[in-house]
Amino acid sequence: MPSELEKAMESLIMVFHNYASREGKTGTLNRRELKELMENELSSFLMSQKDPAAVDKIMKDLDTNGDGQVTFEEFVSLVVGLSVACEQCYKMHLSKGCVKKK
Amino acid sequence: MALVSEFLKQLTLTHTGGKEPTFPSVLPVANFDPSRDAARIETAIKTKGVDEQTIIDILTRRSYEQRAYIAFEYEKIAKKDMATALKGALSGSVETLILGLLKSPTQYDASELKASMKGLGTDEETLIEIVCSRSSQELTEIKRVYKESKYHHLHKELEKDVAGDTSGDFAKLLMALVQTKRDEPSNVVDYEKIDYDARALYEAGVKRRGTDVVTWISIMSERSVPHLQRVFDRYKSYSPYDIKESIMKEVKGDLEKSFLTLVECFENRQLYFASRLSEAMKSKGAKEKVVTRIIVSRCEVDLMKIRTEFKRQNGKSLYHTISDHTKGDYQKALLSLVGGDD
Repeated sequence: MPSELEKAMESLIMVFHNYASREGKTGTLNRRELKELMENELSSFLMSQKDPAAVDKIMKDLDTNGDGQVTFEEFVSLVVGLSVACEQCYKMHLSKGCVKKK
Repeated sequence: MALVSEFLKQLTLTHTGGKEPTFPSVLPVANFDPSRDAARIETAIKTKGVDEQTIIDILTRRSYEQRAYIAFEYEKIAKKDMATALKGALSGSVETLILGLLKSPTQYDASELKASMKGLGTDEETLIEIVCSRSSQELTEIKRVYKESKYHHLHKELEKDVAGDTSGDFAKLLMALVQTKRDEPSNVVDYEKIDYDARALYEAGVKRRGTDVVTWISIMSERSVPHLQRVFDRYKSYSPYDIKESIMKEVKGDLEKSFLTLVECFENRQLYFASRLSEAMKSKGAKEKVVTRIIVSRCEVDLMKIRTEFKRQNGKSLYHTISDHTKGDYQKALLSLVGGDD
């Protein structure tokens, strides 16, 4: 029976490959695949950006070797960055919750 | 967990990961040969009547690091310190400019600050320009250099000198900035805090009689810049006047100038410097100290962008304006640092 963490890692890999395999090179995300992934899987995040060029900026940030393709390793850094930021929100949320209990 | 979905809506893309992009007008020269440059400068100094053109050509087209190498090589061949030699060979505004180029950006800021407070009277405009436009990181570095005993004309700490030379709320604001308590920018947009700060600024200023300057000072000196940009936006939903109009209504004198400088730098630093430059060159007798300081301190940071803002604001290019308002070797040196016409 896979653990919670193992399930989370599996999801990461499956989501990535689901979108990466849609066009061209099947092991990496091109710009269009990245856009689809973000619109479907990270729509809350994209919505709050109010920046139509957000996907392009993210693509530029992630594609560290500049070859127009985002590997899993490059992709995972986005997930990590967002997770760290969400965890900060989570901590704030917890502390505000404690204040309300009084 | 629906929680993550909610959190993701509060995040923002910031470019704080990497360094801020720079727009220098002076770049390190390729095929750099410090010994050759040093030898040419020694010859130029020794030439009868001093060959200022060579000195200007070399030192204004090298990065600060390269100039430091040249100075090192110069000392080896001439057996004396290059700054001292140039001080003897040059004079007037061009001397001030060239000597400024030989200092590191931090040393230069520190020495300009000391000069503004030295002796009787204080050059408040310079104090405000430097303290209100430099980032927390830059101010931290400046404080460190200010203390170093190597520069024997700088003793005492920056905070002590600022406190000694200014008074009242103006002093409180400068002290708060110099204490570098500003938050680091965060990826999390705290909408509650933005609203809270916007309301606090309004209630401390426009809403009441008089002004609670302490609240203004703490918000403007402690919050991160991206946060403050959002606060000033939100402020407009509470106050009939925007933040700059409010500042002009609520405070006067040096305090007003300081708050305005801060806000202008949060919005667009390069535009602030462009405005300073055009003000300094309004009259026929340009305020050369101001022009020298801005050109020297920004040539390796964002002078290209300042040029763009200057042209946009004034219709004339910076190059053209400098040509009209300065002359001689000083003009040649400035134009070389500016890099070109727009």
